[in-house]
Amino acid sequence: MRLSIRWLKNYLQTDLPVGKLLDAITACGLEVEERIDLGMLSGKLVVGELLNVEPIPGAEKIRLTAVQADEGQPLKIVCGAQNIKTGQKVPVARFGMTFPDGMVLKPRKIMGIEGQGMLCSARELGVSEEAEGIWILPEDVEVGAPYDALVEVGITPNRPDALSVIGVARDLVAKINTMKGFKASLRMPDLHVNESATEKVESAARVSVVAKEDSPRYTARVIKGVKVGPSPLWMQVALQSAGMRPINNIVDVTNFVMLELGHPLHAFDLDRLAGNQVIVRHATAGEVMQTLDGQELKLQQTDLVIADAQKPVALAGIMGGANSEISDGTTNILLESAYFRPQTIRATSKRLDKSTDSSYRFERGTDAKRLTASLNRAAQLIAETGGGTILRGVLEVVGALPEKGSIKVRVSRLNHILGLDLTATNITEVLTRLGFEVLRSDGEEMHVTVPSHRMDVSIEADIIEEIARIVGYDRIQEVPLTLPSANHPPSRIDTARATLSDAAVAQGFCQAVNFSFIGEADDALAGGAGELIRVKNPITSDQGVMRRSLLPGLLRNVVHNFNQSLDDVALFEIGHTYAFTEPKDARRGEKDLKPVAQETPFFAAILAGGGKRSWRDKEHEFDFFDIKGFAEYFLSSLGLQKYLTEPVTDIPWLHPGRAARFLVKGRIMVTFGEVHPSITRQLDIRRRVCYLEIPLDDAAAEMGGDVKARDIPRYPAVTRDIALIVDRGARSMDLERTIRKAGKELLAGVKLFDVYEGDKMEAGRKSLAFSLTYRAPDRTLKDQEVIDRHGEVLAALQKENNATLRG
Amino acid sequence: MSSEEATAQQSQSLVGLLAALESIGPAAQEAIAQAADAKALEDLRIEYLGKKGKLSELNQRMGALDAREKPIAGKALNLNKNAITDLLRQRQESLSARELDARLATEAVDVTLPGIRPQRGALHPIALMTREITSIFRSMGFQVESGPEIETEYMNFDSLNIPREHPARDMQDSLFVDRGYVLRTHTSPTQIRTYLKMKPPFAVITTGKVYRHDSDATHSPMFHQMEGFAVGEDISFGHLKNVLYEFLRALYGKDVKVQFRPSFFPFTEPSAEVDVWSEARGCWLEVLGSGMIHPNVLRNGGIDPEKYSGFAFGLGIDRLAMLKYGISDLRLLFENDLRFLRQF
Repeated sequence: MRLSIRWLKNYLQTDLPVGKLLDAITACGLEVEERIDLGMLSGKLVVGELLNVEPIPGAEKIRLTAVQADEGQPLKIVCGAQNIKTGQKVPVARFGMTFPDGMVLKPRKIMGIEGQGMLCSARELGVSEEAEGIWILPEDVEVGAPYDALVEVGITPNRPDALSVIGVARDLVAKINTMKGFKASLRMPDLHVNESATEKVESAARVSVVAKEDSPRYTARVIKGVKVGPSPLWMQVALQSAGMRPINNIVDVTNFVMLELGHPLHAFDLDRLAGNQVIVRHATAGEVMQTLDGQELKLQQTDLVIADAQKPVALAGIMGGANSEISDGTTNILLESAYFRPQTIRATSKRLDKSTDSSYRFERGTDAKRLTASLNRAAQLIAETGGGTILRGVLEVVGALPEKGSIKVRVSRLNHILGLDLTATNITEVLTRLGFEVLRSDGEEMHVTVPSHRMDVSIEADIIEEIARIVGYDRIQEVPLTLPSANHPPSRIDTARATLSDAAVAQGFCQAVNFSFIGEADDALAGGAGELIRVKNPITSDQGVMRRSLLPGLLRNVVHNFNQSLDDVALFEIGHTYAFTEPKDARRGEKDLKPVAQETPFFAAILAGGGKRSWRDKEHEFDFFDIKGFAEYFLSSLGLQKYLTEPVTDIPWLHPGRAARFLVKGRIMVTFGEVHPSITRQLDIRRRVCYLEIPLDDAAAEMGGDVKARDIPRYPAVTRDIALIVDRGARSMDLERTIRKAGKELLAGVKLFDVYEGDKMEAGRKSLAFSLTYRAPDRTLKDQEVIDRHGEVLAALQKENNATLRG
Repeated sequence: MSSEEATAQQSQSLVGLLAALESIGPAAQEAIAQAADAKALEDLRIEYLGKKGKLSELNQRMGALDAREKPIAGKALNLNKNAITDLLRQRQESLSARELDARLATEAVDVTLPGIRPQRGALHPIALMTREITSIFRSMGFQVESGPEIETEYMNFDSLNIPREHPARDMQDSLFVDRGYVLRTHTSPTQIRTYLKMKPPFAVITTGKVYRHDSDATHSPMFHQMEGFAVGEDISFGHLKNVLYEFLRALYGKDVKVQFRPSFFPFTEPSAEVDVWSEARGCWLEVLGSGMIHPNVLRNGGIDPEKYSGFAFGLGIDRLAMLKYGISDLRLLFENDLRFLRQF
């Protein structure tokens, strides 16, 4: 809500300077989000009076003005606007004034004349987008005084009562009076109404409410014989300051009173209401109406309308109908001040995507008990500015409203929660200024009634909050928190996460963060366990389903980086996959602590492309053995040294001949391999992509604890290298197993160091070279021992693996 | 003693020997200085100091001297031997230094060629920020809990005092999934989950992904939050202030300027926004939302609000990371471009 400080100060009498006033607004919990200086903050913009406007010889449009803007000589200012006349009050920017667009006013010459300031338009000042010409100010403003400051106040949804000038002033009076050395008081606008007509309102119009639940209270007045025209300048300027566009004296009054007192009003052209009556009812299904913005609306039975004897004439609380709109020819007016149920207004406003200043207030809640205050204020202003007469009496439908009882507030509880030391007297003072009434108090227990405009206050905690925000959080002293136990080691899964990410970073992987939702087509790339969870209202279709695998997101990242010519991609991600695993009708309690869907934490890494990492390195493309090496590396960083390797042929998104998994105690600890080319091709990736994933729950369960150090060997080792010729299908792992089995306790290590499958090999065969280390833990081995044992190893390889020694 | 007198007193043999020695010295010195390499030097060593070398030869002639003259000759021989040894060694050293210099000259590389740098990876800025925040609160004695991202509407809204009619419950504001569940819009449901399973007093933080129906230059449909809360018999707003001051001092330094400003959240009362003064930007930056836990929320978590009170606070990790690392565009956080990620 945009608030004019000038307008505010009509009601708020205070000695607090404007700068501090803005801080006080924020300190009340009504946040000042933006400020537009119209002189009150910088002093660089003042009200000036045009003493003279004369043409400049040789210039057609530009004129020279003399402006009285302080006690000194009139200022010479060149101005190109056409709407200025002698005697007008105008905003005068002095040198150094900063405009909202950042421009700072500096001296410059126009037509050879150096001006002494600038006359400003409402647009230049950031007041209005539409205004043309210089912003003409009301006649009664004081010449030479800074004009105003406009602030955008962020009102939280619980405080509709603060959506008005008076509402903000009310909080400020309470606030400022708790500030040392400052005082404030509230001067309410004149709410007196002069019913100058002799005619009674009942003879001119009728009001009935059918939808009593949605509109428990409805009041109206009739003003006859008005003359529609522009509203007075002071009212137009006030509306512009608040960011509204002046329309005509009748509509402007309803807007002015809404901004002033917070209650939205609506004016109907009484002569266009069939039967001279209004009926508050629900729309009939499919009923059509045209609102005054020209839009044709199709209504539902849940929509609340104001109708005459034949048709809807307004969408209740949201916007009037074109058919009953105030026009230049309007003479008789039915003025409405009503209460509508917030939920009803909100539902219709949302559904029809129609939000107005009026609906904004109704859907947050308006003061149902003070409808006539606004009604009277507006009727009086219409009579004053439109020249009509107010008929005697008010048309009222007054349904019952839930009564709020008093609230019990304990002083000790309040002080305990806030960490303050206030007395019942302090509390009473603050509450009274906010409009609360303390019915009785014994110094500890207070009974408080809530003013009708504070819909948000109903329990003790609400009162405690009122005291906190008015007394101020800066009064509350810090108190150190003492916790019963200060040592909570990280959970195993958090440790596993940290270990794996550190290990990945050390090896050149960058961490990716992808959205948890992906497109359905991307889900199809990798599939996943469990029932797919669909997002009901995704923002875009590529965010339509919850991911069941981290692979699609990482593949998209590969595509992105390849497109940026980044060919050496190593990324990892830590995150959940999501799926329903329970049958649809599984009954769940509201407070069930079990998650509603299966959320499985994964660590996943992707390697793609490759290249020449430095001028000295060779061209390299990642393949299965790179990802396998990382799979081994990640397990070892988790302290897992022992695992079984198993080829993977049953995962459709992995290359059937280049994929495997490691199992620890029967659990799959890593699945890894090259991504199936049929999948990468769908994404237009032309290079090998390698992927691994580790289910973190299993990793956390199995990961090793502290390292147990082993002694280093004391006796020398003997190394024997062997090159074996084996069948092409023979597996390195099987040969190694034979070697270990036959080498028994003397074999301290075996390492594959070469693989040869070239054309020098006999068809169907290949060569694998191993380096075998023999050692005894307690003595130096004798030559003969090694010869004997090595012989047994070779014999076993020959027998079990059809291996021959390469010559 | 003049040389004449000495000569007169000495035998012919001694005189001859000493004279020979005298001529060897300068000749050796000259030859060694001329030696061009290790081989020539070795030849000279043999020539002078070898078994059949010039000094050995003179040594043999000592046998002809009488006992009185032997020490004189021996001393002179030794002096010469040592001198030649020294000369050989010095020459040897200077030759090898020169050889090394020559070899090093051939090994010279262009030191301006790039070094072979191991490729370093990087944690995501959100993960870095999460780590930093978590470690600050851990050091203050908070424990870490986690909660699911797919929630019931009850846990995400009702239990947190957010009524049916609240705008947050619209399709326009939250993301809903099959079977009537919602992607949690904040980390706050973890409060209720913790209340239902732990007995006060406790102090807990939780971090994780949250979701909103919002996507533009400054909003992402998925982002990250941290939430903290403490419940006990005697917890006041003063404790909340202290914990958040401690946190902000750890994050921004001990001189950080902080302001608590009244605000509104359905699940806390009173509520406060916490701002930090940015000298660079010349304005207050909103960093935390906080407040005393609403009695309804404690009650929904099975905790008696008459016996216990507590505070809660939350922050957007993504925003904090953007401020800390000067990240200009939210989209960079989720694009996973290596040029961006490698900077951290």
